[in-house]
Amino acid sequence: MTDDTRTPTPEPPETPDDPEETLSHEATLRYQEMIRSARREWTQQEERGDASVQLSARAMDLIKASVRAEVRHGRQVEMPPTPEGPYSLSELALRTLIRETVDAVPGVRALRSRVDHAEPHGERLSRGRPVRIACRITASRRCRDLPALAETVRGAVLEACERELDLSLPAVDIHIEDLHDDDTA
Amino acid sequence: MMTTPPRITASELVEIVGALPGVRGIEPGIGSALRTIDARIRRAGEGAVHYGVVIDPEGGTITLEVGLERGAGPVREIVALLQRTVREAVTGDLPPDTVIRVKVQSLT
Repeated sequence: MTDDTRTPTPEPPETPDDPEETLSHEATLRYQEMIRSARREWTQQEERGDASVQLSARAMDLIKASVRAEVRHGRQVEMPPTPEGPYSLSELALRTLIRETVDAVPGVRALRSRVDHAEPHGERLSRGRPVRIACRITASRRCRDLPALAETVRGAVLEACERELDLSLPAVDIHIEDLHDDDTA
Repeated sequence: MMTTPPRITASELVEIVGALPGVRGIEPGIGSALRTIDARIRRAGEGAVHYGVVIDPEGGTITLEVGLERGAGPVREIVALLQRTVREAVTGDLPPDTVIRVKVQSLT
């Protein structure tokens, strides 16, 4: 006996009125039906002793690792194209670039950064080009001119975006959130 | 209309891309990883997709997912070199207006 006899296919819920919601609703129903169908097929294959339905341990590890990588990378952020074609940077890679640029300024440590984006033009779920970067930093207690230090950090981030990405940002905000002793930062 | 599959394979492009200076390695997202496994299971289109490299002749695109090396040069220059190299590698196999799209997944 298969599971299907124990759990009959449920009646589909009523279709919503909103056309966009209807499309999403239909996609959800198709997805659920696909899962039901796959489960039926796999259960029957397993009952027949057919091992073809099993993925290798290596393939399973790859899937798990790629899911974790996807979460780590975040979304893709559109960048100005090179002369050879389009490219994008993951949110992770962009944060790395900002953090390392900020950390390279003497007496400064990066804490967090936030990026505001323009409307995306490319793939679904991608983010548009950055239009504003806000950096929260901690500064050395030895610093005697914090406004000048903030200006140095702002310049470094702007210069890195221009040099590395050909990206001209309209705004970089610097917020000094804390002061640190040089040997403990 | 069916498009003739290119002679160069995604697996060969992985080798070419991985050998470029400034490229740390191929770094696939979940999409290309699943497409690769799907192609292997179905034993169809295996040449067009490999972890991190997807050749789509009908869509006129090649998508590359890579991790780059920090300090090896400006990101956009490494990306442009990568695009140029891949374009040269597929010359004759794919139309010259094929879009080479690069996704930089990490900088390490």
